[in-house]
Amino acid sequence: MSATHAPTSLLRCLVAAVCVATASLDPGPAAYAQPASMAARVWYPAGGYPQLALPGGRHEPIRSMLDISKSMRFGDFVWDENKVPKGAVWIRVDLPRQILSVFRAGHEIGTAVILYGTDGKPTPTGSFSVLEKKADYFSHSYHAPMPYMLRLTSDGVAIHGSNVRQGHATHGCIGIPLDFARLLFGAAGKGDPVFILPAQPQAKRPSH
Amino acid sequence: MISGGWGVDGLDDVGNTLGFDPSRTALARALKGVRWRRAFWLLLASAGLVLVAAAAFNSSPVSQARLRLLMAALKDPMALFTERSPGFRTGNLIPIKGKGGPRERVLSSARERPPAKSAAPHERVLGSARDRSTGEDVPAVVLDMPVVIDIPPGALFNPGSPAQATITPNLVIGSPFIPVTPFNYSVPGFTPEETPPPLVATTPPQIPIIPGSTLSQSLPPIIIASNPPTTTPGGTTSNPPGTETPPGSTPGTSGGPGPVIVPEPSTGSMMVLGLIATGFALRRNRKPR
Repeated sequence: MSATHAPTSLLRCLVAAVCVATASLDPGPAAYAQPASMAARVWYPAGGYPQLALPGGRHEPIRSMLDISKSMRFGDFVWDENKVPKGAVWIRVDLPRQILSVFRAGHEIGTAVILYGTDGKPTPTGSFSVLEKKADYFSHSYHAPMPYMLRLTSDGVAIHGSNVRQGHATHGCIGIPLDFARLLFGAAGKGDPVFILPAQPQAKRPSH
Repeated sequence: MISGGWGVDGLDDVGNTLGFDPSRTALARALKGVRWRRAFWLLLASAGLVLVAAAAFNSSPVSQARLRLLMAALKDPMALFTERSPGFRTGNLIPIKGKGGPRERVLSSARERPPAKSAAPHERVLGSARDRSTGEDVPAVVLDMPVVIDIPPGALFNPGSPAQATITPNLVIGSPFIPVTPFNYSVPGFTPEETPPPLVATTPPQIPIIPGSTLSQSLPPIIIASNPPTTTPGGTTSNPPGTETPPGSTPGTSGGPGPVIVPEPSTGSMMVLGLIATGFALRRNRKPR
């Protein structure tokens, strides 16, 4: 009896070993896209909040940040709003690092890898605010859908869901992963500030 | 004495001061060869780690605050942004929208595609071909060309073969046209029921002559093969003995079922050599080292 079951148990052991080995491998981009209730967070001590410099001369205190010690890939995002109180939402778009971060009440609740404009049609930088929200927006100029669109400028620059892949670029908009766009669309409201950092540091003008 | 760290010599000094021989004690024997300076730093680092661990597991608010301060000192926001960043953008970029980017293949767009406007085929003529002159403007200069047919009698056939034709060409050398050739078919053992049609010679090609150039061209020799070319099972085609293939023609295509592709001997030899080399490499890899 045990002799007949021996190959079966050996096969089960092999399958289990393969499963464990597969699970220990790099899980891919979808790993970050899961509900990040277990995402680590760096809590800064009260009274010692670091000040984040933003365009327009603004400084925002940071109470906590998502602790992502690994380099994110294109299409990755993290969203974690557990134990984060309600408050003002603002968005920081870091063009040189290709990262967007969403803060609520000084706590970072989401971050994602973005796409931005090419050299021919660059993404404008500076301080903006959400002018319009539309979940099912279709651009007739580019004949392309722009789901979960948050309009920033009157000439069409917006944050919207996109196929975020390496080597791609937009025509000035900020492309974020579709699931992250849906979360951001629910979190951000009209009038919320959006700070876009320039991709290259501004050259100082000669003083003469 | 201190150079290179404190060794057992330091213990010797201490023992001499205290009045006993330290080299005989068990501690001295155990610690023989230990670099005291390194051990000191190692002990200090261990103590620091113990303190940090104690602070981490202690639930007092002071320890928690100290831990947060430590974490905040280790990871500032900009460092966190840099850590998670996929890097700076480099290389050529593909716009995801617009005419320059990849098109989306949507079924609806294919469904709504407008039909073709005209069923007439488009004229696809190169501009250079359309503007090419017909040749009527410039008349070709045709000269009387001497026709040289270099067929020595008896060179085209083997007298021992049964199915052979005896050709007696009656050619006019130097005439621009080849007259009707009265071929005399006399095949041994074969009597034709009908008289074969007379072979009508063709007009020699009219080659425009550029004024000032010297014409010294002769037609290729006319070769008539009475036996069809034979194809061996290996695929090689050979003409019957006594016959030749005119230059520019594919062997085995006259009257055959289709073109027979015969690889060059060099190609075949290279293929065989490659197979041999591959087999040799595989065999060499299989050998245990």
